[in-house]
Amino acid sequence: MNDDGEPDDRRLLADHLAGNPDAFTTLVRRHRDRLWAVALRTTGDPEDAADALQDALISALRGAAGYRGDAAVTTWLHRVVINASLDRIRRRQARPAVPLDGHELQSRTDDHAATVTRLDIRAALARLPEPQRVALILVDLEDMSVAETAQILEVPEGTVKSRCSRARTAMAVMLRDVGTSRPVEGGNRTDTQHVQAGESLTRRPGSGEGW
Amino acid sequence: MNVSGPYEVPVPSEHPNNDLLADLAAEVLPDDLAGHVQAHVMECSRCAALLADAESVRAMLLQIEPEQMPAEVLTRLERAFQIARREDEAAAAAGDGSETRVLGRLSLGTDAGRTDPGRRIARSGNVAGAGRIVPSAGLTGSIAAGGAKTGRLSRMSAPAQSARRQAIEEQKADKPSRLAKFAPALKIAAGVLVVVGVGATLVQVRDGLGGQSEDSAASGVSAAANAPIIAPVQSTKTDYAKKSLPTQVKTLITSSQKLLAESPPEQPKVEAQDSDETARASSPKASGSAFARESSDPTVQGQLLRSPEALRACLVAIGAEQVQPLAVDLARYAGREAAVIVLPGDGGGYDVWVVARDCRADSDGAIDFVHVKS
Repeated sequence: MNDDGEPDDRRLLADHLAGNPDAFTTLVRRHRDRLWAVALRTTGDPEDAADALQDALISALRGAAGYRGDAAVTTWLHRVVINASLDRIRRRQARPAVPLDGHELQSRTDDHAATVTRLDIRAALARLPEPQRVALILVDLEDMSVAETAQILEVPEGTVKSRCSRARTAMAVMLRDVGTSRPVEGGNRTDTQHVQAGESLTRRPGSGEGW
Repeated sequence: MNVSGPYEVPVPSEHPNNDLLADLAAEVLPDDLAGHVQAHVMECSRCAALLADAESVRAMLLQIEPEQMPAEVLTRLERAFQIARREDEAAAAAGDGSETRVLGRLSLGTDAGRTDPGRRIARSGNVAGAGRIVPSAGLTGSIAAGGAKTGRLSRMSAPAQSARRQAIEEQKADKPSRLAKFAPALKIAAGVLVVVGVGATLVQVRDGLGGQSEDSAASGVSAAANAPIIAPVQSTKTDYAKKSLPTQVKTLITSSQKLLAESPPEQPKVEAQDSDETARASSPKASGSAFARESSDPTVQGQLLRSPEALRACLVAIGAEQVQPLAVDLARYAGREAAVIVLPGDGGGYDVWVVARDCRADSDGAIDFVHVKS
């Protein structure tokens, strides 16, 4: 039982395996918003997110016996959802890439660098390499610990830290470029080596790096 | 520690690249390299500013409120679970072939009990359509057909629907309902009619046991579309109007979802409790099932679409044979008898078809088509 006197996640999964037709639905309802947020932020598209969630949760429903109990049920569910979301992204890669001229990122001429719109953030997220994006979503948007994220992604914690930090740096560059016209100081340095904004903005969403 | 990519020691006169700066912030650089980069950052306002900006990104992201799962997504998922359970129950009852089907879907291992969707399933590719609510994912229908489709539910029949929609815009002004021409060409075959609660009929066709019926073939219903229609067919007596249709449709969908949620997925029971027919059902003469009563004369009170075969034929007529309706209401539209069929819309929302109650494969009796935003 959890603190609310409700069956905990493991109990619900066990009940589902025992044939309780409502247990899995209860489990999904309990975590629906977090699972939805992860799918939506990973795919960047509500329809893809819904499809990915359906793929993922049907797999989980049918493959619940494969849950080994070595991680939290939510960790397992997140992993399933992320895998399905990444599958969905790969399938749509035949679609045209996000425009490279940055017009999706709302161009502003005011000086309010802090007023970065949600759209900007979503578009910037979509431009991140897939591994960085997923790590950033889990750690910075879902506020998961590095350790749990490492479990979900099945990578070392150092890799999660590196991916998140690189993602934040890339986001900072992208949001700075489109959010304000603030010049980057120290212009006598080698800009292409330093900022690499062009590189970030020309990546297709969902494209991976050689991680 | 496992960080990606080989590092290049930065040239002192140049900025370190962004990955090096990021890894410095993440404290994952080897000590000697970290010392080089740190020394540069201490002297370089530009690099220091970039790292400060990067740190502010985390704070900014943490402030974003998480999006809540839309109700329609949850409903869709729960319907998918329901269908999956029914499939699995039917498959288990059917015996050996079912195991193969489920395993084939996941492409993992040889034992369903040991498959773990949390493992990397991405490479299998064929999990895409698992459980998607498409007609082919029926009780005994071909899961391969459904599983192979990766398109969205609402887009699967888009071309046919679009063509029909265009046609209706041209025709509806001068195309009257065909109520008067109705002939009971279809009879219910291999069907189970389940009446759930008051005013709704849950239609489910068990196919694959005896093959496609002659009637369904004759009515233009393809084998591919021969799958359970799970939407309750209601008789709310609502008088729909174009202006108020969005609200009315959403109410109908809610009602449909509630009925569906309350309906037992197991053995259907045959019990007459239709609101249109409550009087008849409660009369001493009313005996036997709704199925028997309606199959004997499905035209009575325009109840034809309660027949699963007839409803399927109607979906064929409007080019939606591959789409699972969200709700069906035998009601009124602009004061006249009509059937309101709600389908998932392209790109979200709902496609609402208003047709004559004798809608059938060769004559949809279309009265109106309206796209309602969700």
